[in-house]
Amino acid sequence: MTKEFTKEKINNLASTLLFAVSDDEVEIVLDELEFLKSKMDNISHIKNIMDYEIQTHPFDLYETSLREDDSSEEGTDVNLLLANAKNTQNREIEVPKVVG
Amino acid sequence: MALKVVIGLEMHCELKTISKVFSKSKNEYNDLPNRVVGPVDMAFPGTLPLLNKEAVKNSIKMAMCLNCTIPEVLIFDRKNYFYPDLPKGYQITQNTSPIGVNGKIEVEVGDELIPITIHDIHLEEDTASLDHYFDYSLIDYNRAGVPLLEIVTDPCIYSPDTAVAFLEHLRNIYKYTGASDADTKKGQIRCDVNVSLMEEGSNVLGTKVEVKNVNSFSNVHAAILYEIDRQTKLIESGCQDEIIQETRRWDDETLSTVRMREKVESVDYKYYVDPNIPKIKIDKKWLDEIKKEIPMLPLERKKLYIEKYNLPAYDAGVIIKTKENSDYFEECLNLGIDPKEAANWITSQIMGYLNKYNLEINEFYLTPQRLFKIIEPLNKGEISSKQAKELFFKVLEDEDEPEVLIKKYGMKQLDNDDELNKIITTILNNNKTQVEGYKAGKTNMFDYFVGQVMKETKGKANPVKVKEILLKNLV
Amino acid sequence: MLDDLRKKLSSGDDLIKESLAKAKNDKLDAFVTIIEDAKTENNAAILSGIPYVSKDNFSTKGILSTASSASLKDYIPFFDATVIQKLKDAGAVNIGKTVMDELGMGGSGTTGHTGAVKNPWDNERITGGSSSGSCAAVASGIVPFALGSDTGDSIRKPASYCGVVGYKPTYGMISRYGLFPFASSLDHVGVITTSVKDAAEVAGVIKGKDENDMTSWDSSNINLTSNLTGKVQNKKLFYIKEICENNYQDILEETNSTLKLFSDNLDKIRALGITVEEISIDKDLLDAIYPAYFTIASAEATSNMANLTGLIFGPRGKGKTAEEMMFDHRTNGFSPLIKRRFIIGSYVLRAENIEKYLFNSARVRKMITSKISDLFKNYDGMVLPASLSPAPRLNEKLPDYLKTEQYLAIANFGGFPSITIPSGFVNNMPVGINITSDIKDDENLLNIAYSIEETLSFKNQTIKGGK
Repeated sequence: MTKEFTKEKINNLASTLLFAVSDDEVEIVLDELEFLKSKMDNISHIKNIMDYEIQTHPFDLYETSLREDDSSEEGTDVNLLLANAKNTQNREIEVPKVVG
Repeated sequence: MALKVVIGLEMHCELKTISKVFSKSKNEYNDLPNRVVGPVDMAFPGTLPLLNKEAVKNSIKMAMCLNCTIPEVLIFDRKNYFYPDLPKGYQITQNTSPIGVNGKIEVEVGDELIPITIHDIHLEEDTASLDHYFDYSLIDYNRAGVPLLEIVTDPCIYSPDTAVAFLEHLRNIYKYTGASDADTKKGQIRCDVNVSLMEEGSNVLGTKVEVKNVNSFSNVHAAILYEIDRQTKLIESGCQDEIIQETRRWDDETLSTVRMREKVESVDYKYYVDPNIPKIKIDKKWLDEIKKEIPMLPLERKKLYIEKYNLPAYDAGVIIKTKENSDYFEECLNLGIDPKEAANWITSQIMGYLNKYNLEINEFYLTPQRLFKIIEPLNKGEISSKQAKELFFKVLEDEDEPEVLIKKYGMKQLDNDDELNKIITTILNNNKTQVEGYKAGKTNMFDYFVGQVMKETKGKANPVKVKEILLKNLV
Repeated sequence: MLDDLRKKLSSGDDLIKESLAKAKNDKLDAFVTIIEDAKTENNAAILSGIPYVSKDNFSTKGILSTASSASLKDYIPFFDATVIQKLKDAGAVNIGKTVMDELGMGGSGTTGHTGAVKNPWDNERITGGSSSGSCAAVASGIVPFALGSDTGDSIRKPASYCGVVGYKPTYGMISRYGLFPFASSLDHVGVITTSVKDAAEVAGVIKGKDENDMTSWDSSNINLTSNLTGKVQNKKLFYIKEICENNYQDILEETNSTLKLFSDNLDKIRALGITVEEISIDKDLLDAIYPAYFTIASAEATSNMANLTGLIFGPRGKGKTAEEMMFDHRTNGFSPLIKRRFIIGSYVLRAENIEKYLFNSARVRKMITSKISDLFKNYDGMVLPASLSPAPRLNEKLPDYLKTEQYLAIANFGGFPSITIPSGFVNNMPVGINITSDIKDDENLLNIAYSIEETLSFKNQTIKGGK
């Protein structure tokens, strides 16, 4: 039987999220996912669940109006924008050369 | 075996708005890095998207022009991936319910109308731009959050010419509706081109190769031709397997496509509905208002010009090439200029002049009003057609009003009977041999006399009157 | 409490100095930052001279804002959250930024990068979270009110554990602009106070439609303080039978006592003329709240916090490429718990899992929201124990039913206004009662809470911390 959750999968997920996890943590995530899966299995069996729509917001806010495009704001002072950045050059944030 | 190319296009175009799509920062190109940037554009913690109504409206206009189905509710999704030019770590785009789906338009290629089906149109935000140096890159957020509309066709295009005709047509619609300036020179349009080859008569699509970020239509054409050639050679030499699903880019220097990355497995962007943008019902009344704002589109105009104004198809085609030309033409008609006459002026004198000096019609000094002031005295016989042409250039040279220049240069047609009589009598007296010849039956001498009169009057004589008087005198 | 403080102000007391002194003396580890130079700027407004603290996930101009995460340990924003600005305009003075569970994710108050916050009633116990420091600071009398945020119960449960009032209004009544997001569709800004009236007053000051938050709405026709009449005759509340019965597996004695106290309190509420009825809800649906909440919150969090890369703010990671730098920043910036949540959030969003995990969770959310909304057609509110036990001890091994206790998230699912008020003691530790009403029915909710507060008489309760 192939296991649904493997260390390799967890490490792959972590690397797409741009961080490393320790082996101990991977073990914990595996347990948490097993636990969540069993709960989600139960949820799949709730009666009529498929009759319900997917709720993405607390409630519908149809009366909200869109922002009128009648003006724009001056840009923020670049010194403020870059005040928290550690590597900058002139008016920009510097990173090692991005290729690809 | 005969191979057939199958092309799908994704065209990204920056929309014309005052502010960005999810922030109040200016939507404006700026040479100075990080000049049109606020906290939302750089994703400082706690900032939230503020959807721009005009960007939605422009998108809806395009969806309408491409005969798409427009959803009842506006929904935006997050496309999650990390890249240094993406400050939030996700791009707000539309995946669940794009602003337009299942569209269809026809594109003129030569004399043919070719149908193209639109998979979807979605509104999204542009990324920051990276300025590359020798061993580092700098991030400029000016472009982050600029509204982008992506139009995705089905794989339904079968030649590079059709592909380019389609893109030109779209660019034209952008300009006609005012949804975008659609200026390729300013990098406002970027295309991804999907190219695959399939056997003629088969219904199995070949392996799809994506050429990304092609920034001009001529490069789209070249990239398709290059891919057809590359893939054909691989197939014909039995190396079919070497055509893999991959992403390539067009290289301007080598004039070829170059591999960027192989799609080992497609990236999972983990799309989900952005909770910060409420689901907003698209009001039917608003849709009606938007519809009314859409001007008549190029192909409709062409049809109208041919059928109602009896223009030759060629002339109509030239006039609708840009909205500005077409608007110029229609303004001429509003002023009362005869359609054919207006079309003649536009397609010959005006286009010739604009092309020669590389000008756009909307920066052209000779407005329809000024053109009218040239045509009006011509039609009244006050100036000759030769004078009218001269006047046309004088107006442009001197940048002055036609009526002022008519006086200034004494452009008055000579139609005083006495004066003409005098001139003609003198000419006939000086050309006795020719007069006798005429009377003896050499009727073609008549034009000679007219020419002499014109020469004598420097073209100012009213040709109708000249002919009348000559006929009388030659009896 | 605010009225009493105004009296002290008018007799010349400097409440800001007093609060700063208490904050510096804090033994609960409730503060990330104490704003030493805080002073009254606006003398003529409704909250002039009143000190408060804010959770460290509010953007405060020129003041360190870390959300208790190493990934933001040096971040100093250049703009104020809308609520911070509104309080400034109203004359209130922010004297400190309080410790929270890292980035809002967690319910213990032990996961912030500066360490665990201690419960003022018993330093061996937790405060709960994630608005841990904010609840501790109000409960220990440092300030009369605090700003918090509530994604699953992050104001209302620690309020219960600390014996204070915690109120989150209807979703969108208060702007989230400048609140560092955890799960945007569940996040609410709210207040922690020692009385319902104070909660109404402060929420009244910070509410309102904000052009910087599309999900905020105009509540100018809602006046939170004027309806505190105490008239509750013929009001109707319900409680959920399955939550309030003492048949949990491995049930703690403290839970038995908490439920007994709840039941006794229902009698006191009935004595006010309020009808309280028992409603039964499908156990499977109730059991689904925790996994559905966990799934939705983790999914939203993983993307909300993708801006934490150390390129624009936060410590710059080490590496030869931009990607390596982001990787290093995130590897060192997040605690293991946060990483686990992100991994799970990312897992449930994957194309092959989204239907079973996220979409089914969102369907559960809809089922619960519809069910409770329907009940609100006949009832003014839902009343429940704010927690099934008093604050657990640090490192206490909890039974499953407490580990997965998440029913207060019903109010986050549907955006319902919800308030916790202190309702008594179990083992000398405070516990609370929670009331939730229909969306935009905040006036009614607060009036009912006000009346219950009156009869339970734990108003203005504080305890000097650091025993």
